[in-house]
Amino acid sequence: MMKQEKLTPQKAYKNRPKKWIYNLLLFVLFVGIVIYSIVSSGLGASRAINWERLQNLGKGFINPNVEFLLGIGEYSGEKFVHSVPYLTLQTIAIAFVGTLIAAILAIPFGFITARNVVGNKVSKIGEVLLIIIRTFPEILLALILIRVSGIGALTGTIVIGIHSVGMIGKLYAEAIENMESGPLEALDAVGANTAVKIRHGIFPQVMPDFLSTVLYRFDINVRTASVLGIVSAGGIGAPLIFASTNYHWSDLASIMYAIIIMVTTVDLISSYLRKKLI
Amino acid sequence: MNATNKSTLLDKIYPQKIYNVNGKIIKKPRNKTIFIAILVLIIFIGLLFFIPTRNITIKFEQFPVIVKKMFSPTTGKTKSWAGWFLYIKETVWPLMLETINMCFLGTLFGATMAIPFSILASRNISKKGIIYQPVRLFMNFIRTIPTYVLAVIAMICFGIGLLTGVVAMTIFTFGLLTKMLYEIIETVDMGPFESLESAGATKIEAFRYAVIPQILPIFIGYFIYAFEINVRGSVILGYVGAGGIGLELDTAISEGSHYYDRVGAIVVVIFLVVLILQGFTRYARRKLQ
Repeated sequence: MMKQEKLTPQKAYKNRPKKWIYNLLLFVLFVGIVIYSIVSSGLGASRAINWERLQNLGKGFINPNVEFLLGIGEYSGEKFVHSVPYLTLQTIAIAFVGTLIAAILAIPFGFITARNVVGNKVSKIGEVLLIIIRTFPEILLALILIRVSGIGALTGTIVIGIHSVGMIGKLYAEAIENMESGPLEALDAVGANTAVKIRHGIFPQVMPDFLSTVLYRFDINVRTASVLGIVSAGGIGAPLIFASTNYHWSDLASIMYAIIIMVTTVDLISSYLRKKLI
Repeated sequence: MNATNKSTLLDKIYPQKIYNVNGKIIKKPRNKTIFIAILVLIIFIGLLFFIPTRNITIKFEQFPVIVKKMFSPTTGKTKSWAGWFLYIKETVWPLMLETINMCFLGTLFGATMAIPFSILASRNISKKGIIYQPVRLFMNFIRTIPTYVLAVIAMICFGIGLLTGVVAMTIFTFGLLTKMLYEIIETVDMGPFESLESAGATKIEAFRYAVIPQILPIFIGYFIYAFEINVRGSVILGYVGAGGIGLELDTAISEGSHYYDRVGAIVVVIFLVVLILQGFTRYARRKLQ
């Protein structure tokens, strides 16, 4: 029998797998990509910061257009629809109604995609459908749908209603797949019909997951809704772009204040409710 | 005790079921779902007023018309299918590469900035509340600013161009990745770190040899994830002033003459790129985890 060599830490360290060539190659490749992309993007030749405009924006933040921000004075009455409070609420409305539409539309998609409901083959079809819906950028969808339902908040709502189905449907399907089969089998055993099985076997199990998905998506959609205005699909995005391209500093600052307050509030509410659900 | 006999308005609308269990009177708690549903319904109806539907007719028949227009090359540069593909090859594809380039740089810079900040923000490494609390507060503030607002501010500073996009994406990625990273750093096994420190290693050395090996694969996964988000968002950022493919889309659709065939070409390219990227991301993250 051969004498077994004693393995000391020093020897083990010496015999450690040599990966440095592989690591070096990866490193060189990465650095190469970085250098290539910096050079080819021509960032080196970019302009310096335009301090004057930045200062103006700062002044705008100090002196926001209060009448515009609060919808009073010049912006009360007829012109209230062009004021920040109205547009902010419209943005929330687009997100809320759109998310609700998507939450309902996504239920059949969720069941079609859940493997334990329909089996592997049909589930693949559902999955591909959801990926296509999810991948298609919402701004392109808005550009197409603006010809169908016209300029305004309705288009934004429809866009969000369709686009969100992709993600909500996927998360619904995951919730359904994680369901315990015990309660369903028990209901089967006592002879419950399909409606009762859905009401008492599936509903209580998936509802918290469903609601938390919808709340999460609502949070995202508030941000999306405020950007859809860029293509005139309603909400606060259109005046944002208008003010920024025309250098209306105090208007721009008012809109940015409103957006940040709105996004933060919705984020806090949504994460509070989600924490309560789980 | 007469309190049980007091009936409120709520009791009249939605009476509680009362059971008599061994002489004890027990009220069944009300089902809260119904109240929540009513609340949601009220909010829903209230918010509907903000979505004007008057003077709007939904023209469903327009949908196939638009889609057909997008895939029938008739105007200007894109008069024929050959011209359509040439347009993709000579205009759309280089712009797409430029956009991807911009996203890569933004993600890279943001991720690089995220590393030191996430170390400062993680409870188990920086230990002192005086350090990690302000850093977290700052990061929370950065994360609440939507990317397009960042892009608008960057556009004001740098004008329309790729730099604007890179700056906006850097800040966005910085906020996103710092949070994801410090959360993952807080879950690492601290044993190796402590033993290295007790053997005399400095904090940086201990971090390098005890923590980085644990978080590196996850970090790379997050990097790819952030890159994917940035590519998807780049179309919108282009509209706001980041240049690239979004700007071309804007000119194609708003030049008055509505080059829908060009829009179609752009849509196809963006869709395919995002789809391929998503497949790659899924594959890479599965491999890493």
